[in-house]
Amino acid sequence: MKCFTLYSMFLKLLVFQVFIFPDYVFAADKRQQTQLDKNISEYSDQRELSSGESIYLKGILSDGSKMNAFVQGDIPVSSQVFSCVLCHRRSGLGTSEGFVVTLPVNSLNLFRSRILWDTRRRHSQADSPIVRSRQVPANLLGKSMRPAYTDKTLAEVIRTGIDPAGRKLSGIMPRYDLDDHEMALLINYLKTLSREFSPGVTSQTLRFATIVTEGVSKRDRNAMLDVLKMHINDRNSQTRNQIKRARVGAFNRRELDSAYRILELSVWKLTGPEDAWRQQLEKYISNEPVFAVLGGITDGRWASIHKFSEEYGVPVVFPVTDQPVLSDKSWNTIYFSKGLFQEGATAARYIRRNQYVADKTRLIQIYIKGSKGEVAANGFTDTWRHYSSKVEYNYEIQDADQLNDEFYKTIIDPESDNIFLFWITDKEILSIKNIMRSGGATARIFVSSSLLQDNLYPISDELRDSVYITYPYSLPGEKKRTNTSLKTWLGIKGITLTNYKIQSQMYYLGWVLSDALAGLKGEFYRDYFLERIEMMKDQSHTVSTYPRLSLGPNQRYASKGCYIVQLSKGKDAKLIKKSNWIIH
Amino acid sequence: MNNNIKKLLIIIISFFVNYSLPSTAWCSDEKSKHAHVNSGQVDHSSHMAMLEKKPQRTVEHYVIPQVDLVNQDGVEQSLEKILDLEKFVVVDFIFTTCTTICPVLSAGLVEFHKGLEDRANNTVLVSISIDPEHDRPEVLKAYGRKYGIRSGHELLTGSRQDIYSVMNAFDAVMPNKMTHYPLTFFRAPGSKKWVRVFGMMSAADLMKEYKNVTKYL
Repeated sequence: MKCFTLYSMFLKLLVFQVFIFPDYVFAADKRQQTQLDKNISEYSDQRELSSGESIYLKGILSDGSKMNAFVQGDIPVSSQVFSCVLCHRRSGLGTSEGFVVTLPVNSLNLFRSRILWDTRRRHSQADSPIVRSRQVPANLLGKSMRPAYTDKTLAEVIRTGIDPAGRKLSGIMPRYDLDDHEMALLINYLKTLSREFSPGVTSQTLRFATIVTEGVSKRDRNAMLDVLKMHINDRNSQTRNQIKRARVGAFNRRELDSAYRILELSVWKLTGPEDAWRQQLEKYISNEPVFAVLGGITDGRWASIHKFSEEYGVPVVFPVTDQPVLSDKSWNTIYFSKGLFQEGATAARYIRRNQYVADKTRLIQIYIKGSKGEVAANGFTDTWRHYSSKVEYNYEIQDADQLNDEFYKTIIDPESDNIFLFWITDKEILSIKNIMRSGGATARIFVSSSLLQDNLYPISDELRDSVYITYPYSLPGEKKRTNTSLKTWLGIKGITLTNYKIQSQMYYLGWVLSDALAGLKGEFYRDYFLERIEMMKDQSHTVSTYPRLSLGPNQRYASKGCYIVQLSKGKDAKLIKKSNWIIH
Repeated sequence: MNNNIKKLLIIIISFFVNYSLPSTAWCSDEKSKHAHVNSGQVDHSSHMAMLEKKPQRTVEHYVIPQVDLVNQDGVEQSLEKILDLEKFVVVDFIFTTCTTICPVLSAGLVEFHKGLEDRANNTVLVSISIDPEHDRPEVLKAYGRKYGIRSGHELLTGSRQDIYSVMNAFDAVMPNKMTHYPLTFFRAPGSKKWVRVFGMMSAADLMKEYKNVTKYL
């Protein structure tokens, strides 16, 4: 408290101070700049950027070889594993993990002195003038942490770990044995790294979009849009004074205040078949560049939007889809889960874990060709092949009418233990009863709750002991506290509860967005935005639909497990938990 | 008060502010750290100081929980059995998508393992994932290949509950993996005491701890 009073007194006094010692702060920087200019000429600017990028991202030199590096003094490591991007990340803005902070190495941060209480304007786009109250008095600046890097000092720190202030970097930072040529390529790349803000950012606004495709029901579309818009409104209503504060507020809050932007949300409606979406997306983004896409909803595949986001470098965060693109190389889209694929994989894991498969077991997989069920079937096949050489019988059918007694009689062997992976939707669920009638009385039948749209009641009482349901969400009653907080929030905001899953997903996204934007601290780069989301806390009070949502560097699917449940008998049937949250 | 006096006062006050108080040391240490974080300017020096400190060693007694964990080949085994009482044991906690500490921990263990030469037969190295949802056996396998781990180095994962109980047993609970910190544990054959080392180590540091661990029986 005492400290706070002293601090307030200072703020008032310092307003006067800057009148007496103007611009002193920047003198050292100007001197450094002259030196930097001199050194730039020692290297050619005409080097291929892609070679520098390859060193940064992959640790591969221009001749395809790798460089030698050491960490902790005596541990030799491969540059392909310990490439720059591993710690400094794609944006170059660095990370913090535990007590290790990896400092930014983007061009703006490297080639200027690093000082505490830095109030210098960082970007050419920040067009509002910095008023004098923003300038830190020289006496509060403390010593400069390091002068701006020059090409020469940067090369030295990469090779030896000694910075221009003479400080030794932590042993965690590898020392790279790079020759002058490769060093020049790398430094030239660093000069371009995160230099200009990403599109969609102005000095006062930050534009986002969300995507709604044709075919999504009005109820689901509004469930997504209402919550998302309310989050944006909420945030904007709190920022009404921030624009002023950013310009004239106290210097020590500059970073926080100037990071505020008024958020704008456009709704991109995609019509027609999936093939036609690309053209519409290109038109939208050229008309109004956006920083990122928030949420989005489709009933079909997300693939073409995923491809667009990769090619245009537009982040897409937590779309509502059960058919995401499965890739460990893609960067720009973060999904809630692997959707139906994950449910298929879970069935495989559960069957293996419970050792349901013996010599006489027949695994029979049924799905309609080209339907969502095929995605779940792929998830099963892809996972099962790691566990067993026993091949499943796949039956691709054209439509549900095929699922009659005759069909089952041909595929069921009454002498065997039959396990059905019945990837059909709620429309075809009634045909499930034919399995037993056709000689599969002892069969185990796996179905997906997502494909059935949670409409499990058509499963008759006599079948309920045999039917195993993949359930990729929190079980009812499992997350009472977060459910209550979500419902209370919706109530306060006057939003009717229409689709709990979608609304809770968007509720969560709103909080992730808020945290990520705060974490950016004014560094409005799309890559950094994604990196901030990756670093989100593993557990959050806002996760209600899933038992756990967590990401990490390069992770793109936040929920990684699934339950297996059964339905109890009778009219007031409840879900019976048959497994823990299956992750392996 | 006339303007001249006002100006004079301002100059005097400013002079006082400039020279009577040294730079940022106008709050207690804790407060000023807090202020740095709030301002968005990370003062790296405190982190650097922690890292540059010599690894801190303590001797502990841990009770290994009765859990089954899965290794990079998908083989499930009890942790007690994996931490073979008849051999030297080295344990650390990692996650495969870690960007900072774990790569260095893993590269260190691999280099140390290499340096063990014949003694490797009498040593078990165990790296336990703190991100079991993501680090499935096949992911661990790829991680091991990337770092060139040798036979005798187990990368383990399991259910979250089991991983928690292991972290708990080693007094290493990291509920949020981004707050991960570097720990390495050593145990001599037949001993129930663990040497717990906090901090980043070089291959030479690891070897030194390994050689000294027999002191704690």
